[in-house]
Amino acid sequence: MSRSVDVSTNERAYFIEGLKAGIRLNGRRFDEIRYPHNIHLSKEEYGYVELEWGKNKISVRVSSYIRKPFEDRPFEGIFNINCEINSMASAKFENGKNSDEEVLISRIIEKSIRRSNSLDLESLCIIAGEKVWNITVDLNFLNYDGNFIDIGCFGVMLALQHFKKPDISIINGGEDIIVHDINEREPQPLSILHVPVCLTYCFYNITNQQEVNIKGESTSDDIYLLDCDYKEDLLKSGSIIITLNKNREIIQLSKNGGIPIDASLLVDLALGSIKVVDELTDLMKKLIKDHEQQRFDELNLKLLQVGADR
Amino acid sequence: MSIILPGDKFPVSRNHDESIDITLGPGLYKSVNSDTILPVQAGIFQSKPIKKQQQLYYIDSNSRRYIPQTNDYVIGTIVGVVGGESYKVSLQDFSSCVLLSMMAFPNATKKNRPNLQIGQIVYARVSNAGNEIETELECIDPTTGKDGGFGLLDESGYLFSITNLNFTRELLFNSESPVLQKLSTRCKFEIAIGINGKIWIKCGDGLVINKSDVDMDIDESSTNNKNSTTNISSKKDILVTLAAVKYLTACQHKSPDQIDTVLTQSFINI
Amino acid sequence: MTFKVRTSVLDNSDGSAELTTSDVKLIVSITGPIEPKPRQELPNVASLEIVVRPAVGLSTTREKVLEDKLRGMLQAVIVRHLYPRQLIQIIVQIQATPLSKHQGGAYSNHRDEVEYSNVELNAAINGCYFALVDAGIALYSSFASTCISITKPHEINDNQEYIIQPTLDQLNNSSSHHIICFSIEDKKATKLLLIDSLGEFTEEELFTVISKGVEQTELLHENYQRKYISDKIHNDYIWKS
Repeated sequence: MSRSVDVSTNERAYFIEGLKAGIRLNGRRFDEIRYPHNIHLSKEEYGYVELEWGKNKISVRVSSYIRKPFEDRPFEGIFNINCEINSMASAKFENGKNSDEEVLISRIIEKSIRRSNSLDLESLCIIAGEKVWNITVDLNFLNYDGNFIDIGCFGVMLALQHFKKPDISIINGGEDIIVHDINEREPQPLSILHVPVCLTYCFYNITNQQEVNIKGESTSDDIYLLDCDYKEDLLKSGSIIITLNKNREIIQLSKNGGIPIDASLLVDLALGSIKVVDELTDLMKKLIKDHEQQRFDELNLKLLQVGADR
Repeated sequence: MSIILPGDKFPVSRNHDESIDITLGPGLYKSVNSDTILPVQAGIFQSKPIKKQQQLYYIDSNSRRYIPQTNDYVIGTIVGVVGGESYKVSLQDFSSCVLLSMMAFPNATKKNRPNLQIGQIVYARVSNAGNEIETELECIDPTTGKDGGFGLLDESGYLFSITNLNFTRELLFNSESPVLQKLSTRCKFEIAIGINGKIWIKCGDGLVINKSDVDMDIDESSTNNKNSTTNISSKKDILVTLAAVKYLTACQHKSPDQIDTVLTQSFINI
Repeated sequence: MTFKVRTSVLDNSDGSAELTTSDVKLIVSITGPIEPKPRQELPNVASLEIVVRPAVGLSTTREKVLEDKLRGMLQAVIVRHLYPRQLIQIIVQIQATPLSKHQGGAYSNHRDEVEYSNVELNAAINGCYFALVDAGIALYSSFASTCISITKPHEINDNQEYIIQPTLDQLNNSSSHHIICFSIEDKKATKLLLIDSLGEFTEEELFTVISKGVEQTELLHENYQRKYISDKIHNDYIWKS
């Protein structure tokens, strides 16, 4: 039994009447996301990121170690994402027990990032069949305010781009390896093939016309909201999660029950998402670049640079 | 302002004057085993004479979790019915629910019961609270037997939460507080404050739901017409209400001299 | 020594604190008193649900041990019979450990981390204090915890040094290290709430460590706890003129 949250009829009425009048209770436009803020990229540790997104708060840590690869995949490194939600985020999540919502969140993030091959696993191979890198992402949800999927995906991708694994040398003709201390040799970033961005749209049937739903026809009155907060999420009558990347590829699409939507609306949503995807990808890129520059300046790495400026 | 931490010495020496009775308020705890008084919460130590020969001591400290106390004014959401006699009422998410007897309404009899639906909210007084018994509410003024302002809070107003419980206490009890006075310069509003951190507010006429909307669902064209007319009249009131909510929520983290700025910011689009 | 605290950092929790020391960073959240599940309910006192989450990987027996030690200690300071049949959830999320920082986060070896879980316990206890105060949970007394290590005997003169809040390098070169947690009443360390030691040491050494622990916890209380809590109270009442 997961703890339930009760919504009063007053809040519901305001929410629905607001939607009819084109107002979201949080003052955003229907297709407006809350942009991440208070982003902290750790200067001491590679791959440690904290960020807030509305009132959502997460911390992500990437770590690595060397292990033997799986028998059937000798050329591939191992990549996994841990995301367990505990009651720190909200008392509605139970400790040590996966609610359907939690499973959905972790599955979608896994599907969007790991199974879309956004991390080049072959580049993680050190000695085929013997030694590969194991990359683990720990995604910790600290505070919940709706839409953990989008924020989780953003956080993981940001942390993966921030992460660097120690440099290695292979010696004795491929028998042994040396893991260089990060202070000895500049560590290597991961090879990321593409950056998936998840966007969740929630649907609302504001007319409450049950009969229409049974017939399977969607009404033009259906309203969708991008990036729902806590309250909007509680009141939703359906949602769709689209994962896209900057190359305009749809990576995954999932719609888990709820009210039916029109096929043409789906195309509109995907097209409408492109702008947001571009913005978020560029934001990640900028954050990483600024951070690198800052580190470069602070550590005076210029002194260590070999080769003349062209 | 004297700040006190758990485990600190009780700042008043007790054998000072034997004739004065001491009343302990929140944050202070008399150990069961010994006769010592312990501060158990961190906050501002307060001492007030209540009657002749009686002194009240308590620690003013902020909390985000509401613990019911007798005579508190609260706003609760109906979440169920218990045994056909009482409503089950939630005062805060995840807290234990409390009971509101169907008899605790003005003029209620076995035959004439209030008809409240799940999800509706009531303004009520905590009539019975204690650790060992189930907390009870009532929607009746015990001195007059009338409603005294308690009862159902209708859907024209919006319900929202304030995390800082002491701030709601301030809003409810401090008539000098500038927060609500300043708000009244911007709009006409009706407000009910529960010290469990819930506030019901209605600006202007609030939300006007045209009842005929629901009945006329079958006839789509006329519904649409109705929609457009109601929207125009109540859209502004919704916006004003939301702005007021934003203002009140922001005020709990602002000092009094910042209130004007917050007010302007909240009402920027109106 | 770095010792930074921010309280009320999480919006959904009733009390929360983020503690950053030179080695460890963690966040503690408290929710409660709330309604327990029937199997957690205790008739005359509040039940505590304590969860410790590691910085890397999933919870293991290591976290269970930390939870158990925390529980033993917190049960002694929380005035539990003020909240009968209620539940208090305490979640400790460790975000950075001496080891993760040491390698710049790039390389982790799970085996090594077991040894220094005590450093995390130390930070967890101090973090819990601020979170509990922030949540307004009744406490019999304040409490503070410190970590002291004893260096390996010096090669020439057999001298051993006591190091307060040792770093990872200092821990690696120590013969033992100890976590000491005292309850603080009226600014004085009174009861020993928890002591946890790892390594080889003599009885005499242990007594020295305890007496140093008294000093350190009192200092911690005086210099940090009072300061951060009066800041917090000031912040809570910012709307008061």
